[in-house]
Amino acid sequence: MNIYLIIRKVVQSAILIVSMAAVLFVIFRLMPGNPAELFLHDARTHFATKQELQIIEARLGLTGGKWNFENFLIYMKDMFTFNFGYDYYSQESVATLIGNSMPYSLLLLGTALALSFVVGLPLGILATWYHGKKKEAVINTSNLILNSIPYFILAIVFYLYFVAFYPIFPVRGSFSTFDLYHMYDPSILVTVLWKMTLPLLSLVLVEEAAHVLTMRAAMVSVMGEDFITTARAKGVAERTIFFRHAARNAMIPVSTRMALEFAFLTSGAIFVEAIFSWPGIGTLIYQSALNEDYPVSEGALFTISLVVIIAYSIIDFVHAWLDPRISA
Amino acid sequence: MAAELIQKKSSAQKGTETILEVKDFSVKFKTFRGELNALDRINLELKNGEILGIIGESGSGKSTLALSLMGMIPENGKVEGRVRLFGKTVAATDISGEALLKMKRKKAKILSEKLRNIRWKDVSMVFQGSMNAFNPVYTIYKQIAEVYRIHTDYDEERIRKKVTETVKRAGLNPVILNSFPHELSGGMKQRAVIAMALALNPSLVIADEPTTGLDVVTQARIITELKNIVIKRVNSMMIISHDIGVVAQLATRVVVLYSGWIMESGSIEDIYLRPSNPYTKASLESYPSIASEKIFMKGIPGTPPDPINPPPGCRFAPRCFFAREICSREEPPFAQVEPGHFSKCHFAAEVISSGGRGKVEVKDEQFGSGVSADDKVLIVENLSKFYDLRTSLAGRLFSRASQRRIVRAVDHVSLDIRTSEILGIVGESGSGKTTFGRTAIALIPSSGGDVKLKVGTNELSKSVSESDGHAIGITVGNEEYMDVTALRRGQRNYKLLRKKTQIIFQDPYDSLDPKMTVFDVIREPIIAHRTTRDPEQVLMMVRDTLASVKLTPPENFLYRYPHELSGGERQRVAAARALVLRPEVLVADEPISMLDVSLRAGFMNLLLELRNRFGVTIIYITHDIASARYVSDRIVVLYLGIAVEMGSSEDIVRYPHHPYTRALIDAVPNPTPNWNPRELKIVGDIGNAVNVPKGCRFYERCVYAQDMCRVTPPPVQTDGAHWYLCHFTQEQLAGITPRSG
Amino acid sequence: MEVSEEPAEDEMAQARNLRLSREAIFTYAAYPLLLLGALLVLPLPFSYLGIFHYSTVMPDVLVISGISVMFFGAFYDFGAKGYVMELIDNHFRITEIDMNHIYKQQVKLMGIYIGLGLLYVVCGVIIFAF
Repeated sequence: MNIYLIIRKVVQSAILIVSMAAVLFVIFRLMPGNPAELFLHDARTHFATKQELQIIEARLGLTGGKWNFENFLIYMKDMFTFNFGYDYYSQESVATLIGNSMPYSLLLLGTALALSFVVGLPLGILATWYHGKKKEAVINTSNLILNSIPYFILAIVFYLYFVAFYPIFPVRGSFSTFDLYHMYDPSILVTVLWKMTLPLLSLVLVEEAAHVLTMRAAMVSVMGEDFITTARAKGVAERTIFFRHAARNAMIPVSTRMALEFAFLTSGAIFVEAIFSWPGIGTLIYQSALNEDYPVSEGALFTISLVVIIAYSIIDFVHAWLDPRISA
Repeated sequence: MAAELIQKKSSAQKGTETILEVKDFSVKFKTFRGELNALDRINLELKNGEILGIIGESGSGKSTLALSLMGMIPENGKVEGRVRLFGKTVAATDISGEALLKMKRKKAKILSEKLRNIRWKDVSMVFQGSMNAFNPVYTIYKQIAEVYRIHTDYDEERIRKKVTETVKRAGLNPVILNSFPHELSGGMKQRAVIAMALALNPSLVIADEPTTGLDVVTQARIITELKNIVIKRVNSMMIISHDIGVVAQLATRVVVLYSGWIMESGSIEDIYLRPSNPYTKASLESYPSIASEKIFMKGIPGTPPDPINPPPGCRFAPRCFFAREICSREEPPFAQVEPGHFSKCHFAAEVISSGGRGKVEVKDEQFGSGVSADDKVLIVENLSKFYDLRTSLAGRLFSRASQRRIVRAVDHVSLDIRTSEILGIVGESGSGKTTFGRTAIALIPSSGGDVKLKVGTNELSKSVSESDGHAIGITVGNEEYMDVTALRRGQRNYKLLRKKTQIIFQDPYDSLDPKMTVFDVIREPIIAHRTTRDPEQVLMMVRDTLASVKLTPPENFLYRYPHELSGGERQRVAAARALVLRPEVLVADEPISMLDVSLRAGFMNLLLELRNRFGVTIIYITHDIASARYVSDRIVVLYLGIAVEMGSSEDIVRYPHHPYTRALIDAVPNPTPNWNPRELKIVGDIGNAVNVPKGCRFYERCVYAQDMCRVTPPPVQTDGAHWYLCHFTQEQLAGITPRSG
Repeated sequence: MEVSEEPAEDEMAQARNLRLSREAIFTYAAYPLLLLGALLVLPLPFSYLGIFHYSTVMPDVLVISGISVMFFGAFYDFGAKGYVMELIDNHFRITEIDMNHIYKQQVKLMGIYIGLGLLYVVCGVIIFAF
């Protein structure tokens, strides 16, 4: 691949991250209310002195008003040194909070992403393989239905059914914080997997359906191409035609959607984590939003954007590798 | 020589062994609208050493037949009868797409395994290479090597050697093996397709439209290539094409398909010289040929039948000039007329005795001849269209400094177009013929030169302020002309220009708005030019125009949408739209290239008739010399933006002077049996109009080129009305030994 | 593969083409510069009327515009797609070298736009400092 193209893509990602940070700055300053007073939330019963407020404003980077330019520069510097400030309540460093919850989120997201591909793409190919048979109709309809359900609805249904009415899976509280770093131990691995089942299912089922539908549509259009007829005439086995000739071509449109799907998945994960109290970054964002805990929201959103943007650029490279015709 | 060899070979082996046998073979496809009869009780035989040509237009079932021979009937296909290839059944009631779908998995697997082993090893296929015959994401090497991987157990080393060898034999540089399909030109792709088909030395090769979509010169080369293959490498071949001329050059026996029926089968002489079926006869008579005299082609009226509800009786009856009452009632028998010559017609004997080609009487007025050389409707002087890619900001930014980025699409072309003549403009793709047509009527602005269009006295609005001081009106002799190149959009005279010049585009599917009825389409110019506001009169004009393009009765067409019309009817609607304002000049840009073969002659006749009735001048742009010769009075040959030869159409075809024209004429296939193309005297491909040589533009491809051609632009050689651009006279050219092409 | 490279233009023409290409780069660079000038000057009368505080609002506006300029420079193709389409329409062969050159020019312009974006930010900082 062209070196200039690589430079361009890398710089694009970098610019995207900078812009993202700036946008977050603006969004959070546009919110109503004075964060310094919010910080004193619990203590609002007593009257804070002007001095006290000033000290707090300085600590929150608010001296001189929300839109003060110096604060913006400090904010940008802080963002890129992962210095997100402190939680209003526990006074813990936000970076530590994010660092603690990130592994849980990555575990859930990564597994969901991988699983949805492992299940979705072959299912999409299978649907084309069974073209005109009952199995195709079953795959199609079920996935169409699944794809039209939002993640959080499915999560709520799962929660009501398998946790509240038929308590097969552990109740809400017990999802939180567990040992992630000793997963090599089989018994811990089983606990982790057990706790992960429901959030994972609600993400994978919806996400996988999207892959099935795109893959099937792409496969159907590719299977009508002339080169498939050529391959058949050459005596290529039907299976090879499907997996080597058609699937590779069908992957091209699918991989362009991949980036989009990943973003969807990430946003879905926030709700799903919150519903099951999965101790990931989603729950963190959800709680901080409820508590108007700005530093945490800011930091967590920034981190998540970072992850998505990096994933985007990786997908970009995969796409270029899949399609030799790719150009400007 | 080639034909003799083919004959010798085929006569030596004739009758030895039947390799293909198609018996009472029918294929029906299930569609939403009902059952589609793709093939109806076909009987065929192919003996070892034969070259079978299959002629049929789109929808005749020829592609279905090709797929059936390889056992590749699509899943919605239902089969009756059977196809046996080398004694093995490849298609039958229980071996079809539908049957496979219903079969038990294990059984289906065994069956498809069996079919796969036959494919490519015994019978291979040459696909239309200009299409997507190659998988776009793999290199050519991978795709040819795949053939060996499936059918042989060679190791990697041996496969590489074999593939290289195969490609070399097809006349390609092995370097292309590492390229992806999109990096090759059309001709190269077609050669690669042929190389792949011959990789395993199959005994039968099926060539499905092997030359469609290629330029004439490339087409002639591919046909020569296929001929060589037949002589040297394979036993039998099947050529499937809609082009009668292409089949004539290769086949020894011919089968004519129409709407799923075999209309006629016999030796090539039988079919081409003594056709016994009205469809064959009509097709032959509506194929423009440059080898024979110019005769009037009647064309085939109507459109091909709906494959889902074919007409009762004979399927060709509604379009047949021979049809009697019995034809629309009873299906004709497929009967032998002469030994080995079969025809599906009630009146085969009568048709055959009515003689072959050339019996149709030539009427002078059908071609028209009253064109006066002095009466010029359009005077084109030094017309040029250069695209400088560096004019745009992006172009300047992204062009490499060391490269030329000026395209001379049209380069100083001068010619006069006479009132009511049809002027043919001929050239390969990339010769600038389309650009010429559009700049001549100022559809796109020109970069230099003058175009003057004749106007009636007092038609021009003469206010000077309107034309920014330029005189739009010019008097030449005692006629009024308007300076087309000086016109700017928005001036009042610009509207007059648009009214007087019209264009018909190539693609009848793209050029009509799908949301407008035929009436709306044709009414639009009337409204736009404010010719009349009276609805009664508008309706009258639309109906008259529809009738004049032979869409009768007009009431049946007025309120239909483009998608309800066939390709030929749409092109007629496009013509009607162009004609409704009675323009002086009509530019027809490849108007027949997208039409079915049986409809082309009809459209060409329409152009002739319109000229005769309304006196409209037509600029007929085409890549097909034969059709240009049929419709036009004079022909201009364009090469890389310059006019290299011009003369009356008969002169150009009979006595081509310029080496390029000669090569073009030699490359045109001819619908006579065993016709041998002359050796093509041309080098390489057309390229682009960027790196034009300083001297003669044809220098690099000319077989007669001398040193002086490289640096000095050639002068005009002329004998009266026929001129060409070359340093040499005909006598001098004859004295030069051509370099090999 | 048949290699029918276009012949190189003579030196004079090459020099001219190089100049054209540089001019194109300057033209592209001129737009954000003009915008910067406009951004700096246009609010002045309003600020003079006392509608807002020039030195507090402008830094924010400038930085956001600067980031937008960078964003534009990184993601806009500068008409490359149209140019390639033009090449195809005119029967040019597009080689690896051509694509490489296109990418290179894009990277150059991207660099320039990022530089200009930084200039916006610097302007903002200067206004803030005074």
